[in-house]
Amino acid sequence: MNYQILLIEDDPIFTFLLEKGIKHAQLKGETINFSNGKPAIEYLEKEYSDTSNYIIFLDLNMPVMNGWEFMDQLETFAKTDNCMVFILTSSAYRNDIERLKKKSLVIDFVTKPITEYILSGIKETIEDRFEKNQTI
Amino acid sequence: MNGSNILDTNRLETLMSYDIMDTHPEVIYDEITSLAASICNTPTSLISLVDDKRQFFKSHHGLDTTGTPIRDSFCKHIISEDIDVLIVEDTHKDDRFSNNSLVIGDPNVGFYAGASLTAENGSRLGTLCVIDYAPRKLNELQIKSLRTLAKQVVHLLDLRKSKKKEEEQQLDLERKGKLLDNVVTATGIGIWERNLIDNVLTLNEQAQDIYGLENSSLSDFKTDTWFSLIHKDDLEEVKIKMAECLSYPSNGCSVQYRMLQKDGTYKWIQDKGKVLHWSDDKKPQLMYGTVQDITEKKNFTYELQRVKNNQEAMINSTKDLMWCIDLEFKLITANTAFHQLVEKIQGKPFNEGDLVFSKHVAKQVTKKWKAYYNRALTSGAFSVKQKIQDPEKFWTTYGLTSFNLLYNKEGEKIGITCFSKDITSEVLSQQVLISAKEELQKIMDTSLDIICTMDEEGYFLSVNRACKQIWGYDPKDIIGTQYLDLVYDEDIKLTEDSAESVLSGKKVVNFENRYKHKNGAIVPMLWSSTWDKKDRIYYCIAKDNTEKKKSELQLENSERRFKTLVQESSDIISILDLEANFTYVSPSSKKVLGGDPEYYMGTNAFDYIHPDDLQRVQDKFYSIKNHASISIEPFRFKDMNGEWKWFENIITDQINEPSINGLVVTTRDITEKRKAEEKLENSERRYKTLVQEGSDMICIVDEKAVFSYASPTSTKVLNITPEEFVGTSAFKHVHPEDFDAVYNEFIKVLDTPQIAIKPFRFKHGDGHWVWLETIVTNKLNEATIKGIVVNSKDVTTKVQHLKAIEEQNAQLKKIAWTQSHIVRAPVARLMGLVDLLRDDKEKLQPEEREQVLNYIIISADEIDHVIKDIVENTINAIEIEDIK
Repeated sequence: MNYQILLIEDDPIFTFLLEKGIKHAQLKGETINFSNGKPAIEYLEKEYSDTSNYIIFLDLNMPVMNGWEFMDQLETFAKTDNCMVFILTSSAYRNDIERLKKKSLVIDFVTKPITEYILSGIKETIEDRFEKNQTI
Repeated sequence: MNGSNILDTNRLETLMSYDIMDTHPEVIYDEITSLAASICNTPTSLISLVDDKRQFFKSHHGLDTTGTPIRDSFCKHIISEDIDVLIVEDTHKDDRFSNNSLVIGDPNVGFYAGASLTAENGSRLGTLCVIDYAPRKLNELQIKSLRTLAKQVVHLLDLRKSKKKEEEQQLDLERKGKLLDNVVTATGIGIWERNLIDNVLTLNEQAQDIYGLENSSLSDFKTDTWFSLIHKDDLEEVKIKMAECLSYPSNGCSVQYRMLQKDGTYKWIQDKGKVLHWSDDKKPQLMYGTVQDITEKKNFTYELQRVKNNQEAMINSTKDLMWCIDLEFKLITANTAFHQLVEKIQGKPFNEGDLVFSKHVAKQVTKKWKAYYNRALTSGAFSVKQKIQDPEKFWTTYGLTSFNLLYNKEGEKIGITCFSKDITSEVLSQQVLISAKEELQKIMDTSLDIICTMDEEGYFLSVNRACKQIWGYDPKDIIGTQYLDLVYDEDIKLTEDSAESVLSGKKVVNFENRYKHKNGAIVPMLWSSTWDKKDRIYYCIAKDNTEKKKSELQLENSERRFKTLVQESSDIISILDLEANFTYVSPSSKKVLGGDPEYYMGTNAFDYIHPDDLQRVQDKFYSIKNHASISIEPFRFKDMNGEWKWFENIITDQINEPSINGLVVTTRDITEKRKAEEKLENSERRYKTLVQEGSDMICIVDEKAVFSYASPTSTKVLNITPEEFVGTSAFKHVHPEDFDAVYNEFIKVLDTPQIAIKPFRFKHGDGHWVWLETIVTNKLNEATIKGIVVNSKDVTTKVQHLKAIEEQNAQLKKIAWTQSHIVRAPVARLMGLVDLLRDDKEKLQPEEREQVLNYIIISADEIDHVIKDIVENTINAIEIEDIK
C-alpha cells in the first residue's frame, strides 16, 4: 500500500512548517501541496484509487474553495478505509468546526502550529488505522 | 500291704467302684456258688463282699441270708490277715471262730474255706467261700478250684464294672448329644452332612427349615438342585468357594448367598462347610457344615447401607459446603459441593489428609481461614458472615460459615466441622427490608402530617418529626408520654371515646380534636387512626387542621352574614288573582314599600307600575295562563313615597291549589343592585372609551380561543373589526412558526389564573405580521364574563428593536471570531517557526534558516497590521451601532 499525504493549506509558512514536521516525524508517503480545496479535489477526483492510502491535512479558511466545501465533495467518493482527514485550525475557537465533527472521514482537529509532538501522535493514529487493518 | 486293713480307703473305694453292694442276685454268680459247693461237696457256698461295717452276699447258695455284720464275718480274716486262702477245718477248735455266733448258734458253721476276691489293684474285696456244718477237709484240687472260681468272680465283677461304665459313657454321650442339639436348636444353626461319594445330604431339622426343604424331597436334593435354587448373582461365588473347599487340603469355607424359597422369595443364607474325610487319593468323601438364616441381618445391613446412602446423597446434593478437618487443618472429609468449589479454584479437589489451604487463593484469604479455625479450636463453635465480591460476575454474594468442634466417641476433640451456606438472598431481602424501612423513615421524616404509634394505654411509641412543627415538641420529648396530656382539656372526653371505638376495631377517619402546642396555642387536629390487633398498637396520622378550621370559620361567618342580609332585605310575597288584584301581601311590604299589607289588599298591582314598563309587564303577566311559572324582567314599582323601586318577580300559578287559589308572586327589590349596575355601566362605558383610545386590545375568548368579544381597538391595532373577530379562533391569526408555543402557553391558563405569553406574530388585517405581547386571564368562573380575557399589545416596534440588537450581537460575534482567527494565524505561525528553530538540532540548511527568519519577520509584521485593523474595526462596529 502506498501512502499519499495531501497538504491543503493556503498559507505558505504553515505549509513549510508542516512539511518540515512531516519530514522529522518520518511520516510515510509522498507529500503533495495544494493552495486550496479546488486543485486538491480535482486531483483526487482524477487520481483517487483504492490501492492508495490518503492522509489529508486540511485548512478550513482558504480562498476559492474552503475546507467545508472540500469536505462536502470529498465525502461523495472517498472511503474511510483508506482516507483520513486531519482538520487544521488556526483558532482555538471551535464553533466553526462543529458541523465537521460528525463526518466519519474526519479523524481529528489539530490546532496550529503543528508541533512534532502532535505529528508523532498523528503518525501513531495512521499506523493504528491502516497498518493494523491490513493484518486482519 | 494294700487291703490288709478292712478300713483301708483304697480298698473300700475299689469295692465301691464295682457298684455291687446290695445289688440283686444274678444268675451267673449263683452258678459259681453252686459250682463251688458241688466241687467242695459242701451244702453252702457264698460270695461275700466286705465293706467297713458288714459283709454282703452277692450269692448265697445253701444259706438263706444276704449278709451279716462284720463281727461275725469269717471272710474278714482273709482281708485283715492279707491271705489268699483261709481254711478252717474245725471252727470249734480255732480260737478265731470258736466264739463266733455263727458257730455257736444257727447255722452252726463247722467248716469254712474261703478264697480271696482280689481286684487288679491288689485290693481284697471279699471271698468266695464254702461252708459245712460239720468239720471236714478239702483236697488240693478242691482248694485250687475254689481259688480259680474266686478269680472268675473277680473277672465277672470286672466285666460287670466295665459294662456298667460303658453304659454310663453311652448315657453321658447321649446326654451331651442332646445338649448340643439343644444348643444348636437355640442358636438356630442348621447342621448338614453330605456324603460326597453317593451325593446324599443329611440335614437336621433346623437345616431343613432354613433351606426350606420337605422331608420327602430330601433324597432328591443333589448338589445341582441346590445350585438351581441359588440366586444367579451369588451362584458364581458359591461355586468358587465350594471348589476351593473340595480340593485337598482345604480349610473350612464360608459363603453367603440367596436361596429361592417355595413362596418365590429369596432367603439369605450363610453356609459354612468343611471336608471331614478324604480318600487316600485326596478325594473328599464326607463333608459337614452349618447353615444359618441371615436374611434379617442382611436386610438390616441393607437398610443401614440404604440410610447411609441417602444421608450421603443428601449431604452431597446440597449446594451448601460441608467439610471437616483435623486439628492440623487436614481434610477429614467433605461433601461434593466443597470438592467442586475447591476444584474450581485450584483445578483439583483436596484429598483426604491434605491441608485445606490452597496456593491459588490470596495469602490473606488463607490467613483469614487459619484464624477462623484457630478461633474454633480455642473458643468453640461460632458463625461468621462473609461478603464475597466476584470480580467476574460483578455481583456480591454473602455466605454464612459455621464452625463446630468435632469429637470422637470418647469425647476427645479431634477436629472442626465447617458448614458454609449461601445467604445472599436472605441478606439481599434484608437489605431490601432495611432500605424499605429507611424509605419509610424518610417518608415519615418528611411528612408534614404527624405519623405516630401508641400502645394500648395511649403512650406514644413513635412519632415523626412533624410533631416539632405542629405541636412544638421534639419526638424524643413525646415518646413515652401519654397522648392525653397533649389534648386540649375540653376535648379529652371526646378523644377518649374515639380511642375506645378505634380499639373496638373501628377505623376512625377525620376525627377532630384540639391539641396544646408547647407555646400554649391550641392546634386543631384531624386524626385518622386504626388499631392493630396483632401488634396491639394504634397507628395514627394527624393533620394540622388550623387552616381548614379557619376557612370553616370564615364560611360560618359569611353564612351568618348572608342570613342577616336575607332577613334584612326580605322579599315580598304576595298573591294575585288573574286580574292582578292583590289578595295577600306579606308584612315585608312595609319595609320595602312603606305601606302596610292592608293598604295593598284589593288594589290592582298594575296601578303601581311605571308607565314605560307597564305594557311589557302586562304582556308577560298574562302569559301565565300557558306556563306554570314565569319570571318578569326588572320593572319599576312606585312606593309610598312616590319613588320608583326596581322589582324582579317570579310568578307561580297556584290557582288550582285550594288553600291559595291564586298566583304567588315573589318580589325582590333590586333597586340597589340596579343602581350599582348602572354605575358599572357608566364606568364600563368610561373604560370602553379608554380602551378605544389606547393601543391595547381586549378580547374575550372561550376555552378554544374562539372570540366572543373584541374591543373596538382591534380595528385600530389590527385593522380587523370586533365583528370580524367574534366567532373565529384566535389561533387562525397566529404565525405558523409561533403556533405551538402560543398554543402550549394558552392551554396553561385553563389551570392557572393568569399567563403572560411572550411576543408572537399575529396576522394584521392588511396581511403583514405584527408582534403581540399578551396577557391571558382565566375568568371562566366569573359569572359576568364566563370567558378568558385576552389583553394584547402591539409590540412590533419593540420586537424589531430586539431583533436588531440580536442581529448586531451576532455580527459582533462574527467580527470577534474573524478577528481572533486572523490574529491567531500569524501567532500560530510564529510559534511554529520558533519551535522549528528551537528543536532544529542542525537539521536545517543555512538557506532554510534564512527563510525561517524571513517568515518570522513576515509573521510579526502581519501581527502588527492585524492589531491595527482590529482597533479600526472595533471602532467601526461601535459607529455602526451608533448610526442605527
